[in-house]
Amino acid sequence: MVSTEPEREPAGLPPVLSELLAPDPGEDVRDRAWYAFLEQHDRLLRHICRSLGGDSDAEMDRYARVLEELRTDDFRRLRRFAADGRGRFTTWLTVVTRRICLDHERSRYGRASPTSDADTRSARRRLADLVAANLDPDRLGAPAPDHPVARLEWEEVRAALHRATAGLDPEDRLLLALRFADDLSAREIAEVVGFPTPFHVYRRLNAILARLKEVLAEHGIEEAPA
Amino acid sequence: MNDIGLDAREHLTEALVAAWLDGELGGDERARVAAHLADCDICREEIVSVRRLLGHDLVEESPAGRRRPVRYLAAVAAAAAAVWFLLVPTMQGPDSRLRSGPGSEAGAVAAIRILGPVGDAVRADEASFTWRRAGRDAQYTLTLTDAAGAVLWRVSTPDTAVVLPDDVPLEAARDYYWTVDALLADGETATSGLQGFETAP
Repeated sequence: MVSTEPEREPAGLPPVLSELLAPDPGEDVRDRAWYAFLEQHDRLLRHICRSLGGDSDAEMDRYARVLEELRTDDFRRLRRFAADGRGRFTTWLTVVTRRICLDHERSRYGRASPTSDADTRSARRRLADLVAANLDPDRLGAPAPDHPVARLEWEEVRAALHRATAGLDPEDRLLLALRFADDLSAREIAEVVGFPTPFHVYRRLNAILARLKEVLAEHGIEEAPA
Repeated sequence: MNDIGLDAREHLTEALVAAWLDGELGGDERARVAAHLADCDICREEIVSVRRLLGHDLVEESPAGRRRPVRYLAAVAAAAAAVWFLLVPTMQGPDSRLRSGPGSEAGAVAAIRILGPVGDAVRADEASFTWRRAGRDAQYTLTLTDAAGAVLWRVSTPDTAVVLPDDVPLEAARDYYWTVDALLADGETATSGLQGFETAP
């Protein structure tokens, strides 16, 4: 027997969620549905709460906050999944639970530092280094304070690279960000963007870098002679 | 501009993050979400973190909560195949912990031997795929992609041959790639590695 992948969940809500969100079920029925919901998803919720680190008290604090948020306003958050209708419930629940945990952490400990400008420059430099690997090293030597010409040439490469990356397809720009800004492995990139294997990631990245080199060449930045 | 439905904090909504990870987005919507992800490190971090959480074997095996094991299996099997190609010349013999598959030499890691098509020119309307059995009671998953890596077709079967259905049309004079991953009865996995063929003009 052949089954077609991907196998889809039944249309509509998961049964336990349908029961939980049914109109006017009565308190006993609602409570039973809520406990059935927890029985089915409790391990996942606790895993997410644990994933943010800290001791068991911190985990239980987040867990309590998650349960409270999911029940608030007659299960308002859970009703959002019902309204959208796309994707698997457990994926959506993972996203929501993680967000609740992060909001809880922020309310207690403040907001984490945003990505610094230095990190962004570092990621762009790694990409520029890779694309410019075959270019004339004399033209792309590290800019020094007393070498304004070299600095100008380097800035020219970076500006051309910026224009070139801005003109890429959105998914190609995403691949570059995942690889050079986030330092993900090809395997993780494949899982995040939906490529079947890491090989597909390598091949696409190579094609993107080759295109960027072409663009640099169009701006007069040529490869070094062999 | 909020034409993809960003939330009040100018980030992807919960529904969009989940839809992206479940492969529910297509066409323009997927492109717009990809554009946002390329520029927003916070949303990218969320996508990656949630994907890692989903990779943990804690999702309940109910009809509502079933993950797609095959995609994860394919990625893991492909990575395992890559390691095998590197290690096989140095890890042979009875002390090797690498498993032997049927028809393979002692000490070699199980791999799926492909019969076809491999590098052939195939008629676009007559594509069929065959391979040798990897083990008893194995369940195979075939993934077919185009040259850009987009998945065109994925099918699970206990058989060692499948025919491309009519509703998955191939274009003439194009390159296509495919892999077969197997889940064996003892829990081991095997893979064919990436295979390619071209369609006739």
